[in-house]
Amino acid sequence: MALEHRFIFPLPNGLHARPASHLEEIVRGFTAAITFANDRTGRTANAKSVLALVGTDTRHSDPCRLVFQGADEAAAFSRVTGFLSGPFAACDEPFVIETPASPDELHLPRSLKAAGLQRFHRGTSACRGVGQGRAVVIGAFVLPPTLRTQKARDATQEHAAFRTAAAAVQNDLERSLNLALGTEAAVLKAHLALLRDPALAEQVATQIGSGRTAVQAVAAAIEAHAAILRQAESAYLRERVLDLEDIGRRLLEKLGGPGGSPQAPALTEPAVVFAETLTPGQLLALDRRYVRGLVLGQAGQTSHTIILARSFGIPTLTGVAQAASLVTPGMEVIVDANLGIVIAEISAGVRHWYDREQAKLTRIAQKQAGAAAQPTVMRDGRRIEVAANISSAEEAVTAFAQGAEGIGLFRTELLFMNRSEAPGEEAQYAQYAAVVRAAGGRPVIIRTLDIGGDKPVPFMKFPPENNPFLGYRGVRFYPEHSALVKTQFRALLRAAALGPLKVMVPMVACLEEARTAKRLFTEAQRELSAAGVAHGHGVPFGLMIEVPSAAFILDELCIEADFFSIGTNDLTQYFLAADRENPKVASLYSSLHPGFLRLLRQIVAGAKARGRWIGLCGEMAEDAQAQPLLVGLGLDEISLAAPRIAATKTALAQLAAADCAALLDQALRCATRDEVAQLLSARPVPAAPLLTPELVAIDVDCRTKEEAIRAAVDLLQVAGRTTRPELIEEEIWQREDTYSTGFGGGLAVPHCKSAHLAANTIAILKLREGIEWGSIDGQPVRVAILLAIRGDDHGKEHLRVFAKLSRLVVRDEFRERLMAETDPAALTDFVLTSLNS
Amino acid sequence: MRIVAVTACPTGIAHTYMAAEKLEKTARALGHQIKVETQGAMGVENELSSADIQAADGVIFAVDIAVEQRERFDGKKVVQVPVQDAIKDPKGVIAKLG
Repeated sequence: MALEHRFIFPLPNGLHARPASHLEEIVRGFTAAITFANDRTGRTANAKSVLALVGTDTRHSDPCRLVFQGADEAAAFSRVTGFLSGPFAACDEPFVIETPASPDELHLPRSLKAAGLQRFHRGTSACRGVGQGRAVVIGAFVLPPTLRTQKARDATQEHAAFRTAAAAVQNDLERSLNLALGTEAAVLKAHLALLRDPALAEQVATQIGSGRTAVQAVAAAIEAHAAILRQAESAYLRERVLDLEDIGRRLLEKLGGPGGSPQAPALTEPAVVFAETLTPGQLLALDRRYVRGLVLGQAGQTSHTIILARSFGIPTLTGVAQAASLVTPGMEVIVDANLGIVIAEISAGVRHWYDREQAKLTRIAQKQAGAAAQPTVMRDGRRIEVAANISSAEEAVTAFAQGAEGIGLFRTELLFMNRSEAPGEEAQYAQYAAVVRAAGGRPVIIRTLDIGGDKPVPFMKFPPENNPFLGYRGVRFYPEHSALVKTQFRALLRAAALGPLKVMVPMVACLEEARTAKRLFTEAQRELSAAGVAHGHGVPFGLMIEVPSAAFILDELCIEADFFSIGTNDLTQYFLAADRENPKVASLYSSLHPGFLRLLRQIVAGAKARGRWIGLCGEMAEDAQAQPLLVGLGLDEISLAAPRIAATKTALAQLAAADCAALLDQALRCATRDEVAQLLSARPVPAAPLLTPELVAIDVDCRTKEEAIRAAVDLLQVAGRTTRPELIEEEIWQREDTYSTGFGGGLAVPHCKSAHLAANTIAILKLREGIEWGSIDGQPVRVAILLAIRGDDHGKEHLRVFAKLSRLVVRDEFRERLMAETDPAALTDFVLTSLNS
Repeated sequence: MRIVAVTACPTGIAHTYMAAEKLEKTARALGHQIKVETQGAMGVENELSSADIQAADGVIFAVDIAVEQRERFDGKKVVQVPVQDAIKDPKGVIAKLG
């Protein structure tokens, strides 16, 4: 008798290679036949084949079924359904898809046109940036004629040849995987899954059976599967063709020996790579030290090639028609993936323009790296640590590069999932040690296992539960599985010898649980000492506050715990008794509920009264509106997803802790969530100063009005006032086109109202030599003052300042001082003082 | 002489106020009384009342766009110049009032 499970497909990007390989890993061990059926597309697949699963063309929200038939169908059913309702949702990560500039909104800066830009090609930006180098063309793969017409040997020999080749490729991939991190590792894993796919092997076997060589069989099998994928409705699935071709290429290389497929060209100087299609393997084979840009004919925003290009930060254009035949190999080209163009003919003027552009981009990159590396200090000098939540060791490196000041939560569940047995102490130690090393002395909080009915792991037999969130999970199973827990504690304590590691226990609801966990922790310490194994001493032991009852026994918990971290996701749902996955009650789930804020205040005040360190991890930390309240609570740290860190640090630097405390007081007095939300949205955002020394440039070497306006706009961009300089430049020119803003006496006031400004801004450019500006007195301009106003700014205050400045600049004494002053800080001070007088 | 003037430019951010400043400074230096209404991005400021207009010996419009509430000046002789002229040569513009 078969078992059937019906469900709505949950993942936003559909069933692509990565989630399919997770599902395949889960079902692989069962003997029952497991069929995946998509009722929208009408396709079915063997769930043990990644390719077949991907071929069902399953998209988000499709009605799907899984049918289990065979001896262990009941076990398979419970395992798979548990997986689908739990960790499956985490198998996929949302893709950061850059909004491509569509051709009609393509604005080429007037300064670039004036510099002599003539021949260029357009494309869609897939990874921003500018690169320059010699063109290298990689042609598409075609099976050489000699191999295409070759006669097959005995089928047994061809089968054997294929198996040897497949094993060799697998070996290569596994070797690369050992050295790879993050995105690169994920792509290699997906390739390994494709290689192991039974559907692919079956197809090759069938082809060999019908008299083909292993080479021809592989080519045919790859093509057959690629054809299925190309017809998929999801662009994401269509883009998996590249991955498949990559595997094919690697196999053919092993089967045909050298010359069987084109080798990646050896790069010896900065290069821009042109290709109609580029597989992830081809990209990985290139020497990345020299790759300055990619120009591709076809490659979607979510293809693995593009994901890799982004993780390496290679400026990339896609959708460039006839990409591979645009250029002669060896010619010098510039890829500008910010503007969405590739320039094949570089005039002296264009070269000069891009020299400045590169210098500016370098300044911006240095500034951002500098800012991300700085600790978060608020306006009144108060500190709050901004840390990252991670779930694998690989993410730590990226998190620190993105500005994390520590790891606030390392969820260790992933180390335990998708395995037939628990990871041993050594394997765990390697992971924890890698994070501590990546942290380089910054604090790392690692949370011990939080598995249970909602996050099943195969080697722990949890009984099925009606309500896993209120069930046997977290610290609740520690007494029964003390050996497992102690192994984790030992691995953690050993890693703590390498740097400041803190250990945190999840789901504590009562003091007994805290005591039990602490006892196991102390025992693990004693065991290590007895065995003479190096480990950290005085390692802080902390508790995660996510069950409301813990908030009311904080005094007692302080006896066991050195620190706390509030897990707002679970705490909110337990406190408000609302599951946010349930659309009927999701609106009740809100961390801005005044009751919840009062709970938070009680927790933080309780911890602080006992001198305990307290942080907060959970999505509330990412909510820009809620962040001032978190500062107001007096938390020592907030921990959030790494990509949000840079923006959060910038936002926090604008706050003053005292204002936040006052805001929290008001919020705590609110009666409803809406009142809190209103209070937060009415909060005045502190204005950025109109002018700073960074916005003043002295002795600027420009020859034309176009260059000078661009230089002024560059000041705005470097100061972080705009991310669309090409649009601001155009807006300024539209104003200049009415009539020149050179009003005589060597001064000009170019200006614009723009929707692309972060704040109202003045920029001052003092030119080395006078520039023809079309001024009313015909005199060259020596000083340009750029006035940039936000298009949506209806506040009169700033307009008044600009009006005042306009009156000032026609006064002789102001003009004379402006001309004479050469120090940016003094000039800034003078202008701001004059404006306020 | 009592002068009233209106200044207005396309964006209303810079030239409106430059022209107003120049006209005010120059007129006073020449010994005239002057009141200048600016019609800029902030709207109408230093608005001319009908009494101001009635009492004026001369009216200057230094504008590149249409003057708001033009009817206030019906019956008055108006010297109209581009904004830039008032910035470049305020003396010359005032001289046009005769």
